Amino acid sequence: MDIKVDQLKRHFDGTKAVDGISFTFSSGHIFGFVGPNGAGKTTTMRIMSTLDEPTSGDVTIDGVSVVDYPEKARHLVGFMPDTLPAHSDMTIHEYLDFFARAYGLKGERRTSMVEKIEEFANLTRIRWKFLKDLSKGMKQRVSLARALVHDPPVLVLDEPAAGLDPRARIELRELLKILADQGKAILISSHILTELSEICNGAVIIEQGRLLRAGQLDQLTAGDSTDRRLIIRCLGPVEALSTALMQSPLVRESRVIGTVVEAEISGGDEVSYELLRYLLQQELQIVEFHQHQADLEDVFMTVTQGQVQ
Amino acid sequence: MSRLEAIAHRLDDRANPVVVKELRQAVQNRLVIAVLLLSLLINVIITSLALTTDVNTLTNRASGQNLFSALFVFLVGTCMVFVPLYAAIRLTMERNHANIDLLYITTISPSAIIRGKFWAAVALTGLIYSASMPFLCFTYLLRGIDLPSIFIALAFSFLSTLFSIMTAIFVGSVSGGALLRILLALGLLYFGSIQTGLTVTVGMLFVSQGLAAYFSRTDAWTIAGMVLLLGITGFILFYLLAVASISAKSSNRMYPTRIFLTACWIGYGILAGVWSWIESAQYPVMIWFMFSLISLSVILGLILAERESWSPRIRRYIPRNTAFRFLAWLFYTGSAGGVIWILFLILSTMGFGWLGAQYFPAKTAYDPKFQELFPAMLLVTLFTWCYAMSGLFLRRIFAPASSPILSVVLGVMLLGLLSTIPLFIAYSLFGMRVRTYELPIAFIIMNPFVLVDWNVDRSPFMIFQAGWGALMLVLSVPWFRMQWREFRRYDPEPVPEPVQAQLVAEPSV
Repeated sequence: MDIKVDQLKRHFDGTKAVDGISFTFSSGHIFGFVGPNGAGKTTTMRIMSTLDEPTSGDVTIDGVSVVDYPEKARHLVGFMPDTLPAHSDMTIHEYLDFFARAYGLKGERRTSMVEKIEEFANLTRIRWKFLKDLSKGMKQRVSLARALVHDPPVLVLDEPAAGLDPRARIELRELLKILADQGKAILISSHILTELSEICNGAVIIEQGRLLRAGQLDQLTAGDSTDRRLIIRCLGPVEALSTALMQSPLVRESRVIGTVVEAEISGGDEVSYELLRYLLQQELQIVEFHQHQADLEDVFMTVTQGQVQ
Repeated sequence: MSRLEAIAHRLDDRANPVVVKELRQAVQNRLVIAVLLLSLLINVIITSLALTTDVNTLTNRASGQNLFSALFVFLVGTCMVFVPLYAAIRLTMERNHANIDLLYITTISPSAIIRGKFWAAVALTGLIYSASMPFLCFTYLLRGIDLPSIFIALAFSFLSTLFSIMTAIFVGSVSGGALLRILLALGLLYFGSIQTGLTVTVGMLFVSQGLAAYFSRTDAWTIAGMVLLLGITGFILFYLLAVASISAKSSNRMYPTRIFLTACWIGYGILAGVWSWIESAQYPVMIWFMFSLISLSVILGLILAERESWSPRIRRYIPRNTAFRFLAWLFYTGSAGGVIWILFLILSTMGFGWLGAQYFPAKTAYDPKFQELFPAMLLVTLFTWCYAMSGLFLRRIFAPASSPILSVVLGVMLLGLLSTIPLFIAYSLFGMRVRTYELPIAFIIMNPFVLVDWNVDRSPFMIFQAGWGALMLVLSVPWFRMQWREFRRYDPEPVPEPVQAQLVAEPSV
C-alpha cells in the first residue's frame, strides 16, 4: 500500500501552513515527520486524516483520495493526535468500545477487536481503570489503541512520545516496530530525533510548510557533499596527532575534542586510507580511526534554519 | 446464545454509540446519581408531609390536587433545569478540539452525535419521571384529581422538557469564545426559566380545571395545535443548527437548515392563508408576514458569516446543469447564494403579504392594518440589508483575506456608530430638549431606533434606505459574480482498484 502526498498546500488567511509538499511511503515502513514548531506537520497530518481539507493538492492512500473520498479514507487511516483522551468518566474498555462502535464494528467482531487491541497495547489488566486515573504514558497507549481499533493499514501519529518517561518511550517504540512488522505504514512526527533515527526507515523534513528533504534514512544521512569527518585517537599526546593532521595536505580542517581529533577531509575511502597510512608513517600509535556517522539530528540541523511562520 | 440474548445483542449493535457512551458515563456520574436519589427522597418527604400535616386529607376536596401540584413543580423544575443543563455542559466540555476531531475521523455522523446526546438526555429524563411517577399517581387516591389530567399534565411537561433539552444541546454545540458562551448560557437560563414557569402553569391549569373544562373551550384545540406545531418547528430548527454547529467547517452544513427554513416559510404561509380563508380574517396572513420578515432579516444579518469558497467535498455535489447549479447555489452553504435566497424569500413575503391584504380585507378588531404594517416591515428589512451589506463592503475593501464573520461584526458596529454619533452631534448642536422627530433628518436618517417614535416621518427614511440599499447591491455585484464563478462542480478522479502492497519505499524528494 502506497501513501502519496502530492503537491499539498494549505493556506490560512494568507499564511502558507503547508506549501506544496510531496512525498511517498509504503506499508511496513516507519517514516519520521520532522520539522520545527509551526512547520506544518500537524496540518499535513490532519489533512491525511481527513480532519482538514487542502487548499490544493491531495493525499492518496492506496489510490483513495482523502479529499474526494474522505469516508473511504477514514477506514484506512488511524490518527493519533497530540492531545490525550479527555473523557474523565470513562474506563479504558468503554472508551475503546465506543470508538469501535463509532467505526461501525458490530457484535463479536467488535468485542474481539477491542480485546485484541487491549492485549496488544498491554491494557487488558487495567481495562476497567478510568481514563482520568491513568499516567501520561498509559494515556498514550490508550490513544494508540484507539487509533488501531478499526485495524487501519495506515497510522498517522502526531507527537506520540511527547512528555513520556524513558520506559514509556521504549515501550511505545517497541509497539511501533511490531506494527510496522505487521505491515502497517506509519508516519510519526516527533521532536526526539535520536529516537526517530532508531525506529524510522525514512524521514521527511519540512520547514515553513516547505519540504526540505525526504527519503530513506541512509540516503538522508549520507548527504550530498563528498566531505567526510573522521574521528581519530592515538596513544600518547593528542597535540602530536593534531599537529600531524594539520601538516597533511589531505586534511581540510581539524580540531581537538577531548582525547580525540576530528578531521575533515575531501574525498572517499581512498583519501581516508591515504591519511591513515600517512599517520602510521609518522609513527603515531593510532588506536581509533572511523568515520563520523551523520544522524537525523545532524541532517535536521544542517537543512533547517529554525524559522517559523 | 438464547433468543433473548440474540435480540439484546442485535439491539446493542443497532444502538447509537453516543447513547451507549453517554448512558455509561451517566451511571458513573455522581451528580446524576445524587439527583436521582435526591429526587426520590424529596418525593417521599413531600408526600409524607402532605399526608401527615393535612389533617383533613380524607375530607379535603383538593388534597390530591395540592399534593400533585407540589410534586409536579419539583419534577418539572428538576427535569427542565437539571437535564438540559447537564446535556449542554457535557457537550460544551466535550466540544474541545481533540474530542471532536476524534469523532470526525470515525464514520459516525454529526447528526448521529446530536441524536445520541438527545436520546441519552431523554433516557435520563425518563428515569427521573419514572422515579416520580408512583408518587404522582398516588395523588389520584386522594381527592380532587383525575388520571387523564395527571397523564396529560405529565405528557405536556415531558414534551416541554424535550424541547428544552434540544435547545440546551444547541447552546452546548455552539463553538465560540467565552463571552459568546456566557451570553448563550444566560439566554438559555432566561428562556428556560420562562418555559419552566409556563409549563408548570399550564400543567397546573390542566389539573385544577380538569381536561374537560379546558378542552371544551373552542380555541383550546387551536392553541394546543399551534403550540405543538411551533414547538416541533423550533425543535427541528435547533436540531439542525446543533448538527451544523458540530459539522466540519468544510462540510455543506447550512444546506439542511436552508431547506427546512424554506419549507417552514411555505408551510406556515399556506397555513396562514387557509386560516385567513376559513376565518375570513386578515390577521393570520399578517402574522405570517410580520414574523417571516423579522426572521428573514435576522438570517440575512447572519448569513454573511458563511463561507465564500467551497471545498472539493462540497463542489463534487454541485450539479452541472446551470439551472440546478443556481438552485444549489441558493441552498448550499455560502454567503452570496444565501443572500440571494433570503432576498428572494423577502420579496416573495412582501408580494404574498400584499396579495393577502387584498384578498382578505381587514374586518375584525384583531386585524392589523396592512397599510401601517407594510412600511414598518419594509423599513426593518431595508435597514438590515443596508447595514449587513455595508459591513460586507467594508470587509471586502479593508480586510479581504479576513474571516467572513467580520462582515457581521462590522455591520453591527456600523449600526451602533451611525445611530449614536449623529445623534450626539445633533443634541450638542440643538440641545437636549429637542424631540427626536424635530431634529434635522440628516442626523437621524441612519438610525432605525428613532422609528419607534410614530411622530417621525417615515417617507425620507424609505427613500434614503432604498437608495443606500440599491447602492450596496450594485457595489456587491462583483462579490456575487465572483462567488457564482467559483461555485462550480469538481469531478474527482475515480478510485482505482487496490494495488499490490509494495515492500520497498521509494520516497521522492
